[in-house]
Amino acid sequence: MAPVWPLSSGAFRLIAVLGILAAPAAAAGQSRPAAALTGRVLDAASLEPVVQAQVTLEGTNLVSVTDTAGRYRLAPVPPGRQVLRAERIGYAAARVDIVVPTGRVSVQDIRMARRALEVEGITVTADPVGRARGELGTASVIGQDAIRVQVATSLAGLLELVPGMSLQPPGLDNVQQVSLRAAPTAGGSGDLSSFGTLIIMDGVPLSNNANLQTTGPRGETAIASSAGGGIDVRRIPASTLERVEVIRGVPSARYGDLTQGAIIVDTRAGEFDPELSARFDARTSEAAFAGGRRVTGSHTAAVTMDVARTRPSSSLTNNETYRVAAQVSHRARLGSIADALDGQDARLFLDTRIDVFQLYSDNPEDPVVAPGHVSWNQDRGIRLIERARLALGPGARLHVTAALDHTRQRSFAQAPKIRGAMPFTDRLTEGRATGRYIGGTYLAPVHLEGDPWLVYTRLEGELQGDLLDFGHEVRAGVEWRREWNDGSGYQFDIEFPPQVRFNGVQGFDRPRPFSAIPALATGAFYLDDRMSRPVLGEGLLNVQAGARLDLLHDRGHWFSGIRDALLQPRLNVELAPRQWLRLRGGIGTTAKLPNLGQLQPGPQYYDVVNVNRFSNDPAERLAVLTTFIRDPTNPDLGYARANKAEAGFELDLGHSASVGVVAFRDGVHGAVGISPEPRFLLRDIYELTDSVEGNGVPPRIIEPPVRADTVPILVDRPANNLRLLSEGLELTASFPEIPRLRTRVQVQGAWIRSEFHKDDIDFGHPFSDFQLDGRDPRTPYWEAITRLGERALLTYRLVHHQPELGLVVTATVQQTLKLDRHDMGGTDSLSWAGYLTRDGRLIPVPREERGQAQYRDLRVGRSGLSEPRPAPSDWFLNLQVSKTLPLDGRLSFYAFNALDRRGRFPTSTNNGLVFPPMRFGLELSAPAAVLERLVP
Amino acid sequence: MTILRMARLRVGAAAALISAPLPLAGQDVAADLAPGAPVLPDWSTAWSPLEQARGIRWDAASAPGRLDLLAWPAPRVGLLWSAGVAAALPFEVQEISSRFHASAAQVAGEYRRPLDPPEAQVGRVLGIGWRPLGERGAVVGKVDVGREWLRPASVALGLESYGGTPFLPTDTAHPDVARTRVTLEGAGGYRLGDRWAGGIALGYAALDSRTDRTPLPRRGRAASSSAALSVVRSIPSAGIAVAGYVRRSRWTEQASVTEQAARDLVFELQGFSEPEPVSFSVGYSRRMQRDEHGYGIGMAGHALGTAWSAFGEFRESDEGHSSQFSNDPPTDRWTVSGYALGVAAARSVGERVAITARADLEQGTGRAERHDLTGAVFRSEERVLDGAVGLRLLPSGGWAAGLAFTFTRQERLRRDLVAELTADLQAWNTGGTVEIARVVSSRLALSASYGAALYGPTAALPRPEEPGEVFSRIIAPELAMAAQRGVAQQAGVNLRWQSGRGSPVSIDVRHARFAPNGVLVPSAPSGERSMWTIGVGVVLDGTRAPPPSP
Repeated sequence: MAPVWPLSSGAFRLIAVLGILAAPAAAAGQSRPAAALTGRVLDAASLEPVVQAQVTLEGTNLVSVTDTAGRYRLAPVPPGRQVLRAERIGYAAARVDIVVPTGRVSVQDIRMARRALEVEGITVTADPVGRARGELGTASVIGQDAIRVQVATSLAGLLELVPGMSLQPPGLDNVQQVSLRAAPTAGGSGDLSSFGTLIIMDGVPLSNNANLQTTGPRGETAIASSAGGGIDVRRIPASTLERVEVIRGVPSARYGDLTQGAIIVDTRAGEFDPELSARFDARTSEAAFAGGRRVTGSHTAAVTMDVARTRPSSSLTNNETYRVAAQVSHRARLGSIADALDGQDARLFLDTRIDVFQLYSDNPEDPVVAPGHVSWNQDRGIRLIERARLALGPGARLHVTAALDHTRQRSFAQAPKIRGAMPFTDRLTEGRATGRYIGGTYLAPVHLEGDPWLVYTRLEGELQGDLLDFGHEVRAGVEWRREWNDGSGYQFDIEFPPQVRFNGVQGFDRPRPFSAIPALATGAFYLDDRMSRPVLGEGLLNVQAGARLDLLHDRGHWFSGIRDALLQPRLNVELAPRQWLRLRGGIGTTAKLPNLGQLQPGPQYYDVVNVNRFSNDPAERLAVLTTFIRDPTNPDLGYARANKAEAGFELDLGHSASVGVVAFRDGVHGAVGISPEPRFLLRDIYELTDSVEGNGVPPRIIEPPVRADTVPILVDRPANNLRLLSEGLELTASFPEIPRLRTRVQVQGAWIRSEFHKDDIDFGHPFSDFQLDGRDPRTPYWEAITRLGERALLTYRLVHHQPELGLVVTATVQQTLKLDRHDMGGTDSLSWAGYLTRDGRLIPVPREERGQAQYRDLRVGRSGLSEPRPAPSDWFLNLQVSKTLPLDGRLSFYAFNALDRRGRFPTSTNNGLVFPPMRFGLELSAPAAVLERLVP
Repeated sequence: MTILRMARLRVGAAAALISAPLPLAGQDVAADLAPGAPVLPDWSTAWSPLEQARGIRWDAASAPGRLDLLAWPAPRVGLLWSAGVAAALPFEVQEISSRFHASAAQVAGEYRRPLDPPEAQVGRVLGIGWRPLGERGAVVGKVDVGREWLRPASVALGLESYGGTPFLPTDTAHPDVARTRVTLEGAGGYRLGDRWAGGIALGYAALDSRTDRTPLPRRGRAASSSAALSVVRSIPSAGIAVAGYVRRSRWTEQASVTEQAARDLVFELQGFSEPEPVSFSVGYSRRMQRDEHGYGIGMAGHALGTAWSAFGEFRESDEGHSSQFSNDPPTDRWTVSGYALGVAAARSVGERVAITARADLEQGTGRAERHDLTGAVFRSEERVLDGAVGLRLLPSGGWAAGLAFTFTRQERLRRDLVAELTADLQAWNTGGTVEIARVVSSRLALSASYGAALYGPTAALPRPEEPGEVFSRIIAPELAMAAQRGVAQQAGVNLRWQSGRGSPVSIDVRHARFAPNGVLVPSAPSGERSMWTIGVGVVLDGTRAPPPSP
């Protein structure tokens, strides 16, 4: 059954393209804007000028430093709605929303307070209509104010400020992966979309491409790992972040290796007041320090550190996860040059970062409750980043980024195994061997040792200027990255394999070193131009157009051949015919690499039992097995491609109120899934020499074999066979503050519908019986099912701010309007598509013939499909109260699901919508200088 | 739980030269014992919407609280400070005041009810402050963070062991339990013109309770939220102000026990009936939810040199208990309706004497229904008359003193209609307290206090062994203790130090004790129950308690 989309793909693209094409036509005959912004920065309490404050315009490179009278000047300023930001050590950052008219000098004073909660107009949510730096696509920008107030242990907690993201309690309990613009389905769409969500930290991508910490599709031992999905963002502490930009729309050509969106993360660096903070709740404790200072006139150094621990159920188990993360950064501004945009810029700007982290999850043995069960995971990483910006002349810059990223991944799991006696071979090569019988009870420890590495380099040129009545910001760059894993890999005692489900064909796993896997080398070239010009009087047109070419090399270096290449054009257009209205549209293609495990899957072993003579006397037993090895590597495996389109508008209602609506449609094609490829093996059947019970010797096989039969198998081969189509609407609305109540309301929400489909066939449950029963000549197969997910979330934030009291109260209600996960596929006895023979042939059968008598044996029902049963709407409330304390401290209280609402339990007629239980905690922060005041 | 207590707090606030009394029992350790009593006088938290939502509770005995001559200014009387009407904030708050207090307490002793923990330690940090806001507004706020260790806990699984409800989940284990609780409350009032004002009070409290690595782990959590809206109209011509208010609150609690490495027996008490063990597999959970609302009117004014206030309130609560995790689980219900009336007055006599008096009456009628039966299974009639008269001699010659007399009349008639058993209790609790303060120097001041109360009940109770083993083990001792004569005493010292122009820091140590008196009632526990408290407080800014002049 074909999915029904409210907006057809063609119609959607037509709307987006029309918007894009219409905009330049409206732009004819205008000249480029030239506005300026000036004013004073004042102390909010004394109204004295604040000197040496840095004033910036968000989303641009404009910066100005106040003089002795507190004055600043920024020019040329793009007209329209802008965000002015002032920072000064000793003060909380101040942020002012302004509307800049075209071609005029505007005056805007800024007041700064020493304590963040006492600043007027503090922003504790994501900027609903913000833009990522240098980007026109739809984005959410989470600034320092919001980061400091948001209760988040990791980056995942901050992303709750993005429309469509569900709220989760803080903690490090489980692997945390981020999926943008996708609704969960019953299949693997979550992993797929998180894998396709790019995370860039300090200018360098975090990659999960070489993460192999998994026991694979046949593994029976579960390892808590993000392998195959997105980065586990528990490694990124929220306390150390300066700014987060979430590009949900079409990103510029600068960004590659993504299908869903990009999250740009900047950690704290430069000069800022040292601060200590600590958070406690019943499960999670966290302490953090961050501070930066000027070392000399042009050099600053900063240190951030975060230590956190979560005990998910301290009364029941001793399980715990802890994280240590630290960063040392250094920035240097060397020389100076007159710059067309910034006025004055450093000739050379250097930014050096050294990151380390350790994430350790420990599930120790409880000898009473679960004897023998032990597991732990340990990720230790180090990241070295050097970024340089060289000003070549007015409006011309060269950016160079180089990074080395290494993670030491160690996982251990042990569980008691119980199984009956079964024939066993430990051959590592193909061929026949006399096996033995194993069985009984034993402990099966498994080690997974991975050492992923990433080398990343980017060279980018930036040029700004005017051409054809447009102002241009052109970026062209080249990217190289190489990823590999040199860990000792999947290791266990082969005598005690961590598997008990041997069926006589599917072989036991063999240890596999990761270091033997060739590296993954990629390159990319991109060109991006952001153009702007005034239109329709005071209107403004912004166009961002670019293209990116991603190259996947077929061996482990950049000079080998090209295995796959994909050109990705991208276009974003924004037309602001009035200062209060922005119309936007974007369309483009992005691409995502397969990961190393998909490109280089491990060999698959089949241990076919030729003889299985099990006597009571071990000396009389005989097991003969033939080992076959099949390589599931797919030489045609290449990039997954995403076609992204969006269109929307934003209304500026004045008084910091705005409404934005975006409709989007993302289609990921050719994502990597496992394709069960039917093959067959030839099994030799032997006769045995006479054997008498009790003679104490085993029988022997008589060569040659008397006959052979075929054993059908399925080789799990990675293939570009997955599709994920998501469409939806995103809403952000920020209402003006009610002055007397000092309260404002922000609403954001998203309706997202995802369709996850595998372009393949499905053999269902009968295959295992068919494989083992040589008398069964065939088994049916089906077209793979389509999994659907639909979710509509609305999040209301009521923010009450009393600057005089230094008090911020945030009540967040998240209402799930709709939540549905179900499958589409035939379940009746005629829904099969064909059959598989014992020699591995697929024979399709037309639908009209499936009722014939000759196919009676194939007419079996299909089970395991979920029916559409949406959960009823329900909501829960989070509460947060932050208050300044004496000595410039701040106390925050937070309660997740504050009213302890349960939601709705699953029933036979509805899916469940059960909320996490109420949790609460306290957070205390203070400037590090308080220590000097408390301890003379 | 104690609808009546609400009014007592309100009117008590009006009263009070003394801080809250010191009940020495209860599983709800922090609420009963902790540090709230010695730290905050009732009048300072009369506006608290969470306190207002607390229901009727039988106080087995209590010693009169300390007068806190060095820690707090003279008590106030008014719509805010007595009746807790937030809309009165802009009329009654003209100064800035903020205080922080940290304390530790320990309670132990065998003279306790079966669901009281044998021993408990409590640590608590508390801050409270109020101030005008702008030209027309005023706000008050309180934050209270506490940690309790019950070593061990009693067999009560829930938090409120001795509220009004007859439905109580219990088991057979005594694990050590640690609890964390946080309470946040705030109220704001805003003048609308010269004569009108509107106000809102919001409160939220959360609690997490858990054992640490025991064979029968217990986990519990509770959340309480409350909101009150009020309006005040000043009538200058009559020298009075009148107020109206409405209030809603919700309490949810979930308690669970897991059979991890031992077997457990869980009993759901349902009044005086003998319960059967609950059948469950591995884990048992009980969820409780109570919705309470109230509305009332208040009035305050000045007449003949006396500040006075009065209020009347009607309130209802509906409480549900369920053990199934389903969308519409079978639920046992406990509903209470009642009213509260209260008056308070304060008057200065000359320049050195302040007199405060209060009286309040609370009444509640409760009805319980079980999910598996039709009609009421348990009924309750409760009434509490509570009053106090206080006298404070303001500082002179380096000395100050305070004296207070208190009385409480409690009546409780509880009938189990299934077991056909009735408990009829009446009790007087009368006492007095005295505190003397001495200013030693411009920096140092000391005070000492002593109080005692006599608890005298009369009762008609079921025979302890009549219904069954659970009744005789858990319920009969509680009733017997309520019917047992007793004596409560408390003594404390307070030291205040002020360095130059810095903030005054006070240290207080206090001991309270409660013991039976006379012939021991059968099934009643013996021994005594005592509590030690030590606390440190600081007034950080704004107005402070007027220091006695040397």
